[in-house]
Amino acid sequence: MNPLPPPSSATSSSNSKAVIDSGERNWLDLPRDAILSIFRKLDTIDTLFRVHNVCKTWRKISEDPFLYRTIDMSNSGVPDYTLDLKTLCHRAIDYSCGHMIDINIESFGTDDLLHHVADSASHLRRLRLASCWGLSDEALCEVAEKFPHLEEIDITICNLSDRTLGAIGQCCPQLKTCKFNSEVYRLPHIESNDEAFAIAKTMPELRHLQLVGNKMTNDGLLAILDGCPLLESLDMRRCFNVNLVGNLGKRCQEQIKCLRLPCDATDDCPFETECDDGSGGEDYSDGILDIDMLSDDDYAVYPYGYDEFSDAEFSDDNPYDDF
Amino acid sequence: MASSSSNLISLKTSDGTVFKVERALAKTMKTVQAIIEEADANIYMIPIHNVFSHHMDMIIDYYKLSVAGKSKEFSVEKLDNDELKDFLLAVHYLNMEDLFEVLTQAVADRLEKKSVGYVRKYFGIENDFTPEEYAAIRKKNDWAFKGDDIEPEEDEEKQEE
Repeated sequence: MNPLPPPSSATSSSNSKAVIDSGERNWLDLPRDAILSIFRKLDTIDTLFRVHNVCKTWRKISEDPFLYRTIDMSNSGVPDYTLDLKTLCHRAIDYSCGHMIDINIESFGTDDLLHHVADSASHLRRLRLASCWGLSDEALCEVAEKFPHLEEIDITICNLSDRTLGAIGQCCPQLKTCKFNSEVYRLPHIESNDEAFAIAKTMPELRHLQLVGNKMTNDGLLAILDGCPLLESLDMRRCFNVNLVGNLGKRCQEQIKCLRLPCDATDDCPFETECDDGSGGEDYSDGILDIDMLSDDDYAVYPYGYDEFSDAEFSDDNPYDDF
Repeated sequence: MASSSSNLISLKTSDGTVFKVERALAKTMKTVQAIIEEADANIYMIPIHNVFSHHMDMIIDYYKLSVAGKSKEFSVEKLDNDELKDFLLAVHYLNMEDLFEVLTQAVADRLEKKSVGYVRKYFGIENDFTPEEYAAIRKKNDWAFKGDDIEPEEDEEKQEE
């Protein structure tokens, strides 16, 4: 099993460089599939756009539609105001050449961008829209029919309603996962089953449902249990109007494999679930949102409104220079 | 040396060193595996081009760690960019899937969040855009990368530490 110990002179890398250096060797010697494999592992879309500008070879490779099948524009950590995310996203969508199957947009989504997604990605399987205050029900209802292959929809803390849910439910027969998460608050006390009823009515094939912070009551929950018989997992955390004492609770336990209850921990939610106790008045759209739930308290929190990015002053400093 | 002990395969690196490795390790090298399968009789020594003994050392380290379920402990941090590139080329030549994924991830991590100028400098890549193309890039990207460095001269200054 053990190899023969190599002769000591052969192991120093300077020796090997002398042997292999016949002319200048640089990273462009790597075959295209190796470079593609590297680019595919880049975490952030902005890095992808940086390698785009390094040289002609890398530019060509970084435009490969394969790299844009999944476009993740979520803000992990501190948002970077030097990037025009909407433009980057737009361009990433163009590069996908219709092959995009998964897109995650946080905060900068607008109706226009959504239309662009719809026009470019008829095979979209997963759509996530988080903290996109610039999105309207109208736009979602208009584009729903352009996503016939949609399997998962995630709408988290946006200004959208049951109308969107109904449109998606009706136009997307393959939908298996629905997440519709709202801002969490107890006061004012509001009850509403609109969303629950829309889901129950239009999404019979649903397997996974997440409704954190929803205002539904037991009526809404019952409708879901009846309307979505194939449901395997149901996340009702922070649904303060649901009372699971008695038969309803029992039915949930029996029907649903993976149940998360209103008071269960929310550490693993990548969005804000802390309750605004109402002491700041009724204006919840201040919505100070800490996108990364796991960040510590020292993080500044950034208010997200849909015009934030276009209005912000961009600094000239490149934030990525320190290494 | 002779493959009468059929559990060991002899591999000869470009710098002339012979490594006797377990068949199971040789199996993770699809290139080597193909050579073995294509050979009619027992093959005594398989030459592996572009692979040096220091690469084999690392390959064997990785193999031992993965067999022990500790592949996450494998690190290429101590390699500089050129060494990492050469190692990646060797592993690519040998067609070793898992290790290839590890190394491409390592390169991706080194690229992450770095500026254009930094990437060029650190990876030794020349900017081969023509002045016209450059101007076009600048124009196109100006509003996507407000303040980003497109000009290498600016980068080099910024990177003086």
